[in-house]
Amino acid sequence: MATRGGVQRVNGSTQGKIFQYKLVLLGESAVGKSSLVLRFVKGQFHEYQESTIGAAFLTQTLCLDDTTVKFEIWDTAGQERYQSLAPMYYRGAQAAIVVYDITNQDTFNRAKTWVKELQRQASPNIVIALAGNKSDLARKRAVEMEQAQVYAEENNLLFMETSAKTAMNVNEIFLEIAKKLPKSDQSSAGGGSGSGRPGVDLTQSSQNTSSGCCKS
Amino acid sequence: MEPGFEDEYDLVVIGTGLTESIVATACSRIGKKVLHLDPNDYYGDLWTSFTFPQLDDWARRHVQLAGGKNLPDNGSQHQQQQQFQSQHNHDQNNPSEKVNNQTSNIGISLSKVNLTAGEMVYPWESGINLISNVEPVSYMINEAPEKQDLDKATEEEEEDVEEADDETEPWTFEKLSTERNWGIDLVPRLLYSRGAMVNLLVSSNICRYLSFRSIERILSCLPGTDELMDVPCTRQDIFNDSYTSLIEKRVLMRFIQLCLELERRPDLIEGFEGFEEQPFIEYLRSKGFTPLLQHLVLNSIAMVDPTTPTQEAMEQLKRFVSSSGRFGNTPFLFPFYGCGEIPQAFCRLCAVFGGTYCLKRTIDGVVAKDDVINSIIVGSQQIKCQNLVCSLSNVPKSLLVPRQVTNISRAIFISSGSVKDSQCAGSLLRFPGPFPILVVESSWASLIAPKGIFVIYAWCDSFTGNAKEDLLPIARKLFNFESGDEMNGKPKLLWSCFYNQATVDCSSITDKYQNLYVTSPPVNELDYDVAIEEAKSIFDTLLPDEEFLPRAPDHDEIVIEGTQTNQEIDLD
Repeated sequence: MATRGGVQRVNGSTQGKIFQYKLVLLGESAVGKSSLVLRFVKGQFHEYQESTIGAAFLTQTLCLDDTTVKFEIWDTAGQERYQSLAPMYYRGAQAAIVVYDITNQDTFNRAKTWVKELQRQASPNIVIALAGNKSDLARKRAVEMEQAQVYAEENNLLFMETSAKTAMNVNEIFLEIAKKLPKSDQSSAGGGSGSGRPGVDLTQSSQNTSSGCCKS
Repeated sequence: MEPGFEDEYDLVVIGTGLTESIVATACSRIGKKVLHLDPNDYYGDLWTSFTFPQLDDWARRHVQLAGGKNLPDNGSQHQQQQQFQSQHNHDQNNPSEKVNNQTSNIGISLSKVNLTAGEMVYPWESGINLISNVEPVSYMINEAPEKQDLDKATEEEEEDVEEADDETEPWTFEKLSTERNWGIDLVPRLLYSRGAMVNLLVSSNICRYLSFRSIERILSCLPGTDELMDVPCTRQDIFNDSYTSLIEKRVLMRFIQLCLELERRPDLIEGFEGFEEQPFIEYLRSKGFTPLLQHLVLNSIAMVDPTTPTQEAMEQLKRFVSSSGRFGNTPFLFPFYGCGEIPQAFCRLCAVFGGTYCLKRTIDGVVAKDDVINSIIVGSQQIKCQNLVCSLSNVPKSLLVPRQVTNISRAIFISSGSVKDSQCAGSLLRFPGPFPILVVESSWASLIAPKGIFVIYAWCDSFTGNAKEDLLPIARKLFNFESGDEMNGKPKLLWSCFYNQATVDCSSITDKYQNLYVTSPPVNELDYDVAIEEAKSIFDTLLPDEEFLPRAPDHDEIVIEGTQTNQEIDLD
């Protein structure tokens, strides 16, 4: 179903180093944030995707030469709808995809606000990509590609027009982000979540909670 | 124009404090439709974590609310209670007058409210203020004024002489304000590694949104001095400790062993050598505990009073011992980015299961028939709802019955050093007394402050009615409080704030509507047991036959089909 140009899934054994990153999606409701993730992670697309899905926390792994990049992808779960996204959402995010709908100028303006918000709130080294989604609807285009391109260059963002429906540039945009992310041992240490995160991760501990005493 | 809400919800929740958030999440998790509002522009209500500028604003706002001057006010408890009382009967006046009045308060014209027979509209005024006696003080050099420029110059000179490491410039108000990595708690907590909150986070799988740092050390203030010692928590620590003698080490070691056995064999605690009901101090004396050991076991490990019955103290000890060594030396965890992450994590799961979130919003009125709320009014929208859950500060005073209010005294200290020589440690410290004071030190290592900065919290049940009076003695033990200067091994104090927070058990604080549930403000506790218990009890009343926060599936357990509903993705 999905074509994964240039991207390989990792099957079981991995070689080289694994880097884990938290990636967040931002953008107005109904621009296709969840659809992009679903296309990327599961290779699926649903024309009438409900606005909120239960899977607001997905992971996908990419191979990049001799390293493996694991994305822990956070979807907004609808909390962006009334400008009520929790700060927890941005915490420790090393990458963000800000999505707009090329057929709707308002969503592009809103995307710019999200970029500003990220520059203000998120980690200073965050890699931001701008995705003009629904490129399959080019005949209804309201945002010119050049306009977005210029804006992206001015703000040092990666930029692509994507289509979750046709899969155009979906894997590519994640791949470009993966390439741009720093690959040092500390790179995923500042993250807020996932196995690469510092400190005590209770998800790792759930197996041994039954063992009574662990004093040495 | 923002999109409107849906016309009907199973549950409307006002306030994103922890207790309300747990209730909202538990309901959403099992498929109920939840609308969650908060009049604030941030999550967490009093359970939030602020940036430094947010905290400073918050403090100034409360100083202003109190009339600009914060005079010590010993009668604050009484006043609060009177407030509750005086408002109580306000509701009994003629309802028709109320209906006329409310059009000005409510953004929907009366003719648009759909009323069936017997229904009335009641405006929803803002609730009571729980915060008082707020006293923020900055010890930092501010911009410009001449004298301070001089100060600055001399400091810089000093620095040149000292060739201070990589310490570039002194912290200023400006510099603290522009830093972005803050998470300062109004109501700080620690989590027992095997405590109620950790267990709930793990069993519900909400823990995947959070990560924690273990608290490195427990400190104790040696009686009669300002000296802080590390309390040995593990065998290794006991072995290496320099304060305790060889004999004391042996006694302590044997005692910890006993506590461990108690955990495996709870029956042992039943017949505790005839001491069950006796004061714990008697038991310790009988076992040959020296005054130092008594002090450590009572105040830092069991964290009880000398007169606490032995059986109760042993329960506390069991809790301590069973949680220690799980993730670190001490039994305690502190969330990265601050405790405000915890309500946010619950809210996120609520949203993932379809909960609708809107900050800077509260309800403007309710439509009720007799003692049942049938719908709420938000802006120009009338929304049907089955039940309404509100935090105390979001309930109109007129609905509350008089109650004895408990006042908690709290303080936040921001400093450029640890209370006891450390680069980054998290610490717990308890000062015994009739009103024991808890102190939690957190630092930049927990990502709650910019690098090099420590945040120290102190709190206790108020005994003078004024936070500053209650907590000043320990502020003086930890810092050179009056000047804020760094000397005699005490760190440089940059900023401090005292405040009182009122709390009251809200389980039956209103009898006006049978489908209105009010959640209590934070109480004085170290972990979250009371808040969880309260949330669970509200949930069990709302949905007696449903499971409380069953484990949420991981992403790889989720099957996505053509159309999604909460049921389909819920594989549990």
